[in-house]
Amino acid sequence: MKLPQQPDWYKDSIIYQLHVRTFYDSSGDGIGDFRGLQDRLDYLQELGVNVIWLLPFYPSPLRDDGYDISDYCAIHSSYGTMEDFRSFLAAAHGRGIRIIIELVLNHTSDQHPWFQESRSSRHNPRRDWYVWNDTDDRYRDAGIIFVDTELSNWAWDPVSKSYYWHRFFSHQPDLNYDNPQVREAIWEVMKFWLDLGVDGFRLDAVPYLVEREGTSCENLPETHAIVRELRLRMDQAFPGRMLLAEANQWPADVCAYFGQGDEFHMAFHFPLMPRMFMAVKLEDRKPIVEILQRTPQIPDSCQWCIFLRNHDELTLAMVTDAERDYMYDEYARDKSMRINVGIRRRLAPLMDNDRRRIELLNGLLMSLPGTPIVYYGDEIGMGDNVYLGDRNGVRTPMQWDGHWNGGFSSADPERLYAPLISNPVYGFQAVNVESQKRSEHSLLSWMKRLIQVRKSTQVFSRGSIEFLHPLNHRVLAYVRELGRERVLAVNNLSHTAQAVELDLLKFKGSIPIEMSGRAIFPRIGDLPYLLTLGPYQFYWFQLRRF
Amino acid sequence: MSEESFLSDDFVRQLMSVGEVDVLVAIRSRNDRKTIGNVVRSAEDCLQRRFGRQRAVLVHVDAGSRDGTPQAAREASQLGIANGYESLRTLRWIRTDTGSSAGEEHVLRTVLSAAELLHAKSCAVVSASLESLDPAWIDSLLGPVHREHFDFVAPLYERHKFDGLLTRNLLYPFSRALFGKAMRELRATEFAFSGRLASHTLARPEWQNEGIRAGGEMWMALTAMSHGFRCCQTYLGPKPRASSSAGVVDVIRQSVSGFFWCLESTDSYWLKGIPQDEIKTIGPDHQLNTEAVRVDRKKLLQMYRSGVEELSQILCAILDPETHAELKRLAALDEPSSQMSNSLWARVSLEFAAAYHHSVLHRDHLVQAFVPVYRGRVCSFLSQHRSDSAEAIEADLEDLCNEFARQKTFFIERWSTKGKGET
Repeated sequence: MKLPQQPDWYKDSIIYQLHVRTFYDSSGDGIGDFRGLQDRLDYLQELGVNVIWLLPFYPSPLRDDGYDISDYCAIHSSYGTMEDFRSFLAAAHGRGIRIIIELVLNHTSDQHPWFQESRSSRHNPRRDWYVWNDTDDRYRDAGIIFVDTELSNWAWDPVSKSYYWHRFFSHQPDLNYDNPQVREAIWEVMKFWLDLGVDGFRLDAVPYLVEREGTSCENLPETHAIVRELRLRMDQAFPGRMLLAEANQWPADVCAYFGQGDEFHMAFHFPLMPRMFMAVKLEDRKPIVEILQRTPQIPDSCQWCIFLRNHDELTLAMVTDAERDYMYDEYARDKSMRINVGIRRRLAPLMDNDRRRIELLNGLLMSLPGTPIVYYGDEIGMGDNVYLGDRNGVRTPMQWDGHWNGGFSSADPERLYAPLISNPVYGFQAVNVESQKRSEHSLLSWMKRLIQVRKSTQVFSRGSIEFLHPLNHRVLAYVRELGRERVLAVNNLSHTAQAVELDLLKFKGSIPIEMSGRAIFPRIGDLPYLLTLGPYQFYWFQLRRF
Repeated sequence: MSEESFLSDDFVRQLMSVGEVDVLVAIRSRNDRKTIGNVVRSAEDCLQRRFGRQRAVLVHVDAGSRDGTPQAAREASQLGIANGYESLRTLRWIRTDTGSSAGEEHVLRTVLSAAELLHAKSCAVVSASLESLDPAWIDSLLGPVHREHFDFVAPLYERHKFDGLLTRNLLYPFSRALFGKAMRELRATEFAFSGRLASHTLARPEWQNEGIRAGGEMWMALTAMSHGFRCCQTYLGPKPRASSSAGVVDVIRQSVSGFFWCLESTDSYWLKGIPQDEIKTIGPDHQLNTEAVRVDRKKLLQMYRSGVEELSQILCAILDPETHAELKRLAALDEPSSQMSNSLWARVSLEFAAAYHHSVLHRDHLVQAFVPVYRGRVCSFLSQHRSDSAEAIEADLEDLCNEFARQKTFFIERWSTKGKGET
């Protein structure tokens, strides 16, 4: 299968996010690997995703799940070899699946040779590759990100007898992007992977690249200049590749990372994500409508990435204090579910394993503007384990079947990189791919159909959005439009049946055709269009004219 | 034949679109264009800031205003305008017009129906004429229902010492004696109630009775007390003085006939003889403003004298001979000496109430006859307390309450017998 060649292919993507360690272990050592992942590409192709986003797989002491990189141009031995990666990449491309990989620009592991050299002496050529200071009183306006574990953004290095700057864990010293050698080195890293054939990068922690006194050290103009430089070089040498920004900021601040279409191709819409959860709990469309109405226009070549869950906590950084308190009270009453400024739970447990709510949220994910990301395991409703520490509870082994180790590995269960979820509700015996493949009515089967419908038209991936404002605020309704094509999405956010009258006068004469079953609904006339929806039900209608 | 619904189709459609709520605030208006703006903003502010997590609705019930009150209410709304506060939920307004011919009970019934249809758990009613209303008042009303699960919350105000005299001289001491609870503001335009009480009240048969036109809110409060609902009262703040004497006779007649009717509809409860019981009071239970004001006691005394004289035959049918004689004796005296004691006033009130119950005359005439007698009482009150402190006035009020309580047994007997002195 050939990969679509249009330069903005990322707009039509359905992204599947996973860590190679979690997916499938081919070697029997208890850790997922690239050969195992390659083995499971058919599953992903059947699911309908066309991009895989891989979390960091580089050599690392693994003190931050691989985000502490000690070698940018290699594969961690637990996951296989560079040859395994090449083989996997080719196999993915052969199935029409693109691969984007994680690149942690902001910092390295303190075990990275660059840092080892930098700390060894004030006169080392790489000394200036990191941000050093004799005291810890610079950049006081920068906030601490990992508030649960870090007390300061400076750490004392006993080897170097000075302080180094770290916005994340203290074992992750920040690179000094004021140094052109650093920028060049990072470009060489990117070039290495682009040469191999990867289709793009998700650049981690972008806002924090540059520090300046008297600022928050986030989103500075110099950071944007660095991104523009990397983008320009990539476009020139490797056209058609993609950069995805991780910038957990308000939409107006994230928009800056699109530049004039000359910085990132895509960026996560972080503020939308918690508001989808909030809207379902409040049974009120207000949070979703307001945040999208406050989202500025972005360059035509750019695209938002939207998501429900990921490998991190459900971040509540981009909400008000009242909203955060509400989310904690409603979704994480047990404080062990909370970490940093967020909630470390998977989608299904957050929805109390309510199939209808899980479907509704996925329906929103697939119909609101942006490229959707599915977090591995959420397509079968996997559970979590908040007692595994940090965010490891949402990074447990993929559940393939009800047999030995859930079909993930042939190793002894004690040897697995993390224990499987094994409780009667979410455990691998109850929730797994094999059993769900056997049922047309499983969540997995439903997700496949949903993705299929999503991909059947470019309206969802490229169309505009116009919100309708029916009196019933429990119903979220909007029209997506691209050229002459229109889709009406109507979502009942409430746990009770709802009636709603929609003002569709401007579409008078159109016939709504429900997109999953192709049923014809009454033609739109002069009167408000009455619909009734069951609890958490949603419809997608093509509005056809004949 | 089907009973016509008093809820308009449009209002029902609006209720449908709101769905279930936790909190409902109703604003009642009739020709309140000048004051409704502040009330609207206060209600929105309270719900957004203090009940931001609750599903809430604002209900504007207008009784046929002709001065543009509904338009003024819409214009005053701050919803949708950036006001520095981001509420979690959609806050909705729904509106209905009960028409100018509909009585106050129709407005109350509309609010109760909305509360029931929306399954509202905590409800507050405020008047659009109360310009001094602020968001904290609404929170003070809703709070005890929402947080402490009370069923009925009556207000308490700071009043001028010469304001609210009908309440303080008749409604309060009389109801306290019979119902055992010292609820000071029985006839309130601001109060709160639970969804539970709303459903109970809505289901009562008294809605079909003419008497409810005069005493809807009083009846709801007394029904709550007499049917085991949890009641309390909460201090709000200063209540502006009522405007001058325009319509005051109608107010007196309506309040008195409404109160007497309420006693009838609840007599199965208080006839048993209810002992005094504490009522939870949040904040100070009385506040009096003793600022000096000019009052025309001479005119009041003259009205009393002429009323006692002109209505002598009617009063003779209503009152015991001794009581009637005492009123006549006082009417003949000059102002300083013409003091209607607490004991006499309590006796007069109780005899009137019993006479109303036994319909010794047409009830409208009976209530009309009460007016000049009440004026005599007011004159005495003003004279006695013209220089008194708030504490002295309060002490006298307590004495009045004790008088009503002391004469309760007599009243119960009189109420239960066929006529004056008959068994």
